[in-house]
Amino acid sequence: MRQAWHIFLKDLRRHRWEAGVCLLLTISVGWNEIHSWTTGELGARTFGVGGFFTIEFWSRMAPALLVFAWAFLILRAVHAESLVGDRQFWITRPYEWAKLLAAKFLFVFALINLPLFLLDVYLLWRAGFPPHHYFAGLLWMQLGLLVMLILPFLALVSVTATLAQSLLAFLIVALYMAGMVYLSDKIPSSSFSGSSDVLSAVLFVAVSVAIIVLQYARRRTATARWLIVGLGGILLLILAVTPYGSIVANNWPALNEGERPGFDLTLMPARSGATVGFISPEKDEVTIRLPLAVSGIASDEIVRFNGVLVRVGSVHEVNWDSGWHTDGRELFPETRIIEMSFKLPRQIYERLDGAPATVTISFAVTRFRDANRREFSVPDGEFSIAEAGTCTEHGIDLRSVRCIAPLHGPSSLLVTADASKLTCSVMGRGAAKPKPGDLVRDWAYDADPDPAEFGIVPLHYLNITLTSKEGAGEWRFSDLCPGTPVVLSNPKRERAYRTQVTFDGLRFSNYRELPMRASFQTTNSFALK
Amino acid sequence: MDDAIRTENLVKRFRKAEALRGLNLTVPKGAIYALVGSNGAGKTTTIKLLMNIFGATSGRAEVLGLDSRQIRGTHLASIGYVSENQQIPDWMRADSFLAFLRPFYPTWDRQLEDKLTRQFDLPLDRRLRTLSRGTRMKAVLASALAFHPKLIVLDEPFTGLDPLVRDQLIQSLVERAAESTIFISSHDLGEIESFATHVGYLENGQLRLSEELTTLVERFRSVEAVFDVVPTLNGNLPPSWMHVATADAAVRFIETRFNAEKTSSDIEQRLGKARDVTFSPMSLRSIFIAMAKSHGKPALEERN
Repeated sequence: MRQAWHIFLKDLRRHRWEAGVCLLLTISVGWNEIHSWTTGELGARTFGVGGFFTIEFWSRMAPALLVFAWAFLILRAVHAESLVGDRQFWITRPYEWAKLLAAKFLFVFALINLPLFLLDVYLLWRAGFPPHHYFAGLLWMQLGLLVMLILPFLALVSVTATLAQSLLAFLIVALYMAGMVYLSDKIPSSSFSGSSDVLSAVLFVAVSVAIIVLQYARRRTATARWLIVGLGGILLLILAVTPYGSIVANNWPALNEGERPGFDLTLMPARSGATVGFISPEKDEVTIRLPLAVSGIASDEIVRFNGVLVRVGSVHEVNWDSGWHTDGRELFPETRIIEMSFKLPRQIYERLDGAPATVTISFAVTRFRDANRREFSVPDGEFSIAEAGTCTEHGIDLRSVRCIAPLHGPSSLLVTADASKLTCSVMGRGAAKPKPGDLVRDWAYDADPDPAEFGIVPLHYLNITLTSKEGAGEWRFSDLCPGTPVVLSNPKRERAYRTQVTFDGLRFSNYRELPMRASFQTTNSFALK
Repeated sequence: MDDAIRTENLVKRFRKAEALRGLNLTVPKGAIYALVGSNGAGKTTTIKLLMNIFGATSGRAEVLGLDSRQIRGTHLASIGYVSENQQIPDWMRADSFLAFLRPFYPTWDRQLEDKLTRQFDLPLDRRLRTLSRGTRMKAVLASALAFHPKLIVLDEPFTGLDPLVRDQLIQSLVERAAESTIFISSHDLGEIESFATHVGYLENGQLRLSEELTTLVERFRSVEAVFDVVPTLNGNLPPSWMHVATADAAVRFIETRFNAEKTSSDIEQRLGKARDVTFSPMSLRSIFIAMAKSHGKPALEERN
């Protein structure tokens, strides 16, 4: 350990300026966090050209800058005893590889983990949460930082000898990731399910560790680089060959014969004239919007569509499958209409040529049953909600409640209010006056809560904003002010299953969304066509 | 175990290029062994294999009785290594460089360190990057000698240094010779000759000779035999003769197995009775230039 300490002290002396910048940025992140409690939501301010030169601007950039500074610090520490090449001074000196590696981890711990841990303890304390209650969560955050950032950075810089080489390596990795995202979009169902993510993450961490150990123990740079290439190939292979359909079928089994899905959907007639979308679809795709009437949801149930798959068939031998896509919408008992939109390849659309088609929509569904309902009146000033932490009234234009919770948000917290009983302004601007029984809600749900969320600060911010949807139209936001009676509850996950609805004789031309076209005229006016 | 270094059929390939082709080398303990050869002969590759800086393609090497592939960590506490092109932490001051290395070596000798820094006249308060090449080399050598290494490995340490610095370095090495084996690669044959006890000549990845320096110098002679009539050279010349050349009635060659009686007898037998025969001792430099020109052929015929 003496040798590790000795090398650590040398690195500390050598990289004191970089270390100082990291510590300053860490402090800046903390200052900015505390500052945001009094000045408003993070990032709420706008920054003009003048704002670029303010302390506030740079303090808000601190988290991103801090990550870059960490990466640079790790790079400098590793390159101080470079593992690449055959001319480094240290490789002919009695360095013991395990102690050298320990020295580098000690450096990372002292200048990255420890300051962040202390900052997190301070932030919890300042937010009114006793830090010792959250020790395990704080360690979990540190573990996340180690696994998600430090190990991959360390592995990557250990196979490079210079800053330029490292930047090139980061660029290649970034391009690879962009390529994977692009491919994920092209491979049906790959963006849904997430089941192969665990395997990919385990492989990613295992290869990072293997590279670090291989480099420090044997300095086998070529082998280590091939490991990285191999990992890239395997992750690509996993993306391409994962049996997404089987995974979805396994996680969301089909309903038994005669079993009710817990909701009914019927296709509504198309509105007169095609709808106009605000986002222009891609040239080779046509956006279809199907308005669906919802009924049959029990008064204490909530239905969440985790994923949706659309199949199109017709007598013209057209068969098209969208693959599973993440959806995430929730259907409450009062939900009456939803809109199901998807992008149909233009080629398919044109082959149908207005002919009737059969559309089957499959849903990967999770059904929740509302539980632990209790009435609550929003008090003045600071108050606490068990699952959401410390809350206060928040916002100027739209008044809501903002809660700060330690480590992570609530696993399931549903806030429901009768819109007619809101104590401040009624429904959003221009909306009709709510009638008694018109419900507005906000639901915070985390399907798989970890001991703490991955991030730099140990606080979770939850804005409780009451919303409703009028038919298939736009979301309506309602103010939430002190004195408003609300019902708090904790819906419990009851069942996950798969179901489908089929619509025959559907003509897509009736449900096609026309892109909004805009043109700028010489008089500086802006016209919609 | 009387050998500090021993290699057996050591082969190193870099892609298609073969840097070492079955090297068999033995360096006795206590020797000052100079490995010489032209650029690209494989000297640095040999040293890097011995130091386990990279691995051999095949064959094996032992250093201080240990398989060279095992040399790492604490094993390096008994080997002092200096190379002309090593990347050193040049942001350090000379004194902090030595101070940093001290704890790595259980046998580090502060008094010896002080002696070396005085002997080398090292400016301890200056950063290594601000020092001249020679002074930097002296600092590195001081750090490689101050722990009484059993083996000192030097890769072209004198390249680009002025004669004064060379003398200082050689002097310090000679002073360590009693307690260390020294293995040195160099182009500088003149300097080597002044202190090496053994010499090896490497050519195209193969060791062409390896022996004690005194024996080597003893067995090489430049020979000139003058005849009354111009002798006829036929192909039947002894294999120990190199660069055989005639000029008028004289024949000149280099005898690589010199023995006054036998060489005189060979001359008479192969070329006839000579009027006058001169045997001139050769410098190490002349010997290796002759060997380099022969490209492995023991007796090369030349005529003018």
